[in-house]
Amino acid sequence: MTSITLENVVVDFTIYGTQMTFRSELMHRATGGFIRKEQGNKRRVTIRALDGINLSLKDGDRLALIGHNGAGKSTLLKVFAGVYEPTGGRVLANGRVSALFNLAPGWDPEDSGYENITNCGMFFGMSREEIERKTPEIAEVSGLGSYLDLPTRTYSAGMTTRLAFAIATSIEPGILVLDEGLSAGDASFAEMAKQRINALLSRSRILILASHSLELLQSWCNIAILLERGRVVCSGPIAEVIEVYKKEHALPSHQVAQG
Amino acid sequence: MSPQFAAALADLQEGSANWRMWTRFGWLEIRRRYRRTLLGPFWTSFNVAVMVFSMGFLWAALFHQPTSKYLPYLTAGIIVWQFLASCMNEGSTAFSSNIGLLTTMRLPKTLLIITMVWRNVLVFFHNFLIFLIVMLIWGVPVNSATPLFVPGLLLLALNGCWIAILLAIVGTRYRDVPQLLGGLVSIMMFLTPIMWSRDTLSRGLAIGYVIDLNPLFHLVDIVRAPMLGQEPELLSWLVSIALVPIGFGLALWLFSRFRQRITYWL
Repeated sequence: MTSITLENVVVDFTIYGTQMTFRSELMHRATGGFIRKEQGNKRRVTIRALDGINLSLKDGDRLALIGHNGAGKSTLLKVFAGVYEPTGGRVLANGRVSALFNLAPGWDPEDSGYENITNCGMFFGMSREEIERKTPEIAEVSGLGSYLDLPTRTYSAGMTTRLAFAIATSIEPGILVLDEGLSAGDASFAEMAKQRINALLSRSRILILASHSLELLQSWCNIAILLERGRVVCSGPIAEVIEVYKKEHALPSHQVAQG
Repeated sequence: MSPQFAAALADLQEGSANWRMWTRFGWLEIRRRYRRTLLGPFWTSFNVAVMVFSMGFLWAALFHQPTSKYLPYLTAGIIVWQFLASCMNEGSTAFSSNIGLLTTMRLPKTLLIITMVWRNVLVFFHNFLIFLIVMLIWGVPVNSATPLFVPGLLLLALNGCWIAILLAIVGTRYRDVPQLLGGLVSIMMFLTPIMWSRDTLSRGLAIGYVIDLNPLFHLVDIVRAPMLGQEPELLSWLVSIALVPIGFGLALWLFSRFRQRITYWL
């Protein structure tokens, strides 16, 4: 049974700038005791990106993260993905979490297409056998044929995107974490891309998606949470949450459309 | 065992168990660096050769050493030192240079460390070719001490791992550390018997005992001495072996305290 649970998750970012170098830290230490503490509080800027998030997802849940820029969507995605470990609370994941923030981890432009299939596959956690089994299919989807033997630096941007897309959509995720859907490149590829994405989504037990596109969220997800300043302000079936979101933030595009 | 320590240990376990990844990406990184060059990875060996054959004769004269003794000693020392120096220098940027991976996916962080150490083991063997040439020219003996090279290198690599973990954590938090280390490591090379030997320096002087306090000397010598057909001193073995649990203990303690913060520091 695949599931993922967030218990009272808090994420604080400490902002390190030029002032937090070794030198200032040393001087900081040297000033000592009581002054240090006061200075320390003044100097250290922390931002609470997520504040007490409680969520529990089970098999079949397709969660949409809705909210304005800076509401904490991306941070929450990265907590789900295990990139950020929360500074407070905890995450309990039961199943393989795959995040596709980076479609081509381990990609090397100097390597051939086939070598890059292996590079990325390994970073996606595939076994050697799994990669070997999937290579023909990936090659076919990419449509690159004998180009796959050439270094990928010789590819056009479109070819690179297609190959990366073909690899990324071949994974077997238990829990799939996505930011803004998946880009597939040129239009001629659109129909195939749609099929690949649908197959990937149906293979995943749980989906977590953040996007600014309400249409995308509505077509892929069944439940949603609305984030505001790092807090969940509303959760439930996606249609209801989108209603709340539209009401609370009378969308500029609507006003323009109505006006 | 605290949950943080268990998580740090699990990271190390997961990272080291994934040998398919660290062997592949260690090698790929070498290939990447020297792609489309004439000598490929042998460029580092070439540079070692240039240094040894130019400076070696000069220093042999300066230190009043016979070249047949001094050049093998210097070559072996430099090759081993390069490994140790890379573990320190590249270790301190092991996390910060992989920001693209660490901020987009969950990876055992020690995997990046082990990949780096493995890469430098491979570089070591490329450089070893120069030592083979030196061996042939000056007739370095191959004897019963020679096989000690294997456990020596293994111990050195293990020590390189914890040194790199430690420096990677500190180097991610304080970006001055990699810069500082660049200079410091070259000073350490002058202070460790690499270009000069302990025997020429001490000759009964008290400073000989000071050298014994330098753990880097022992780490270098457990690999260098067997390369030269000599048995390393017992003290060198003891120090190098003792450093493994002490070093890993220290590195894992620091890692368990700050592992969760590392991504935030990037």
